[in-house]
Amino acid sequence: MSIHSVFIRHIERLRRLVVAMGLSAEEGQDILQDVYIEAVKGPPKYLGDKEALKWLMKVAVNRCLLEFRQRKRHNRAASEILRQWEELKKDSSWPDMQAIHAEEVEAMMQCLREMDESLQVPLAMRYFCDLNSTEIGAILDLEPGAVRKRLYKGRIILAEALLQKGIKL
Amino acid sequence: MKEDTCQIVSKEELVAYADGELSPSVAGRIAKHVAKCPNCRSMAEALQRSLQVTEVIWQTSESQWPKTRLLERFQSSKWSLRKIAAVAASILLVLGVGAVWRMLSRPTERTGISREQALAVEIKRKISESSDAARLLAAAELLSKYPEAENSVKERYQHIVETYPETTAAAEARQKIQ
Repeated sequence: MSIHSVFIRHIERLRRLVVAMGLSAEEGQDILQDVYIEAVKGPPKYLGDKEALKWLMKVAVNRCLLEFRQRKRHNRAASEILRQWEELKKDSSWPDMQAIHAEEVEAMMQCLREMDESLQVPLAMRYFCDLNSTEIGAILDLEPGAVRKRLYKGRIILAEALLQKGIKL
Repeated sequence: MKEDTCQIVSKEELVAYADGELSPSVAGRIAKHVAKCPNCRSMAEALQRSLQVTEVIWQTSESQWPKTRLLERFQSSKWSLRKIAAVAASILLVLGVGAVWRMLSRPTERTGISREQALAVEIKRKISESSDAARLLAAAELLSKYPEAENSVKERYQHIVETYPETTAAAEARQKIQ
């Protein structure tokens, strides 16, 4: 399968990865466009399908990180996400969505904004893109054990942010 | 913040417990401890809750994406390259056939269109239609490999059937729709 086909086949996965990095839809689409161009140009050497996907994800992650650094990351206003969340909540029948409070969303938004990207990226890849530690490690050039340590650290930071705010669970 | 003074279960173990990554025996041991230890219980709850809220934030961001248009955007850019190549090939073919035909069947009268000229135009049209329909069919078949593009593929087959009904490609598209 050509790398272009791998891109098309896994576009939803790539999109989720970009979404979880906190970029707006417009910024994210620009990034996917760049990843697509890289896919058309092709990787430096021939890659099998699995390797090609990892390569594309790596390109997407690096492109997102570049965007973060250029735009001082997470430039979307928390109020915008909150407004969208309120709208989503109104229309959603998903019980988890109904049970969540605005102060929890605010606390997690702030925590994500302040979190180091070395923790945030693995978190997004593990919990939003459903990649395991080995897959994440292959994309980020990390040992699976190092990925797990970052995941633990990120999860604890998020949990402690809720406890620090004194939000009743 | 509550102090984590528990010496029995580490935070890392609590994360693994919250994520269901422990063996049943270890998970059972931690579950018993969590039931008794208020610090570990609130940390375990916070671990679950914070992830739940974070997922909602990601999903909220995701909901702002024009999901269906995304795939089309990239497929259409590939399509453009194919289209340009196919159209260029069709034009060359038609021009070539036209030139040969003109050489073989010059009109006897300076005014009006000869029967041969009319026939040449008709042949050109049929070649062009067949070429366009075949090109569209090939593109639709390429797209049909991707489940996300199912609706787009159906629309393309329908378009072929309606626009080029007399072509072989339309016959094939009809079968695909059925």
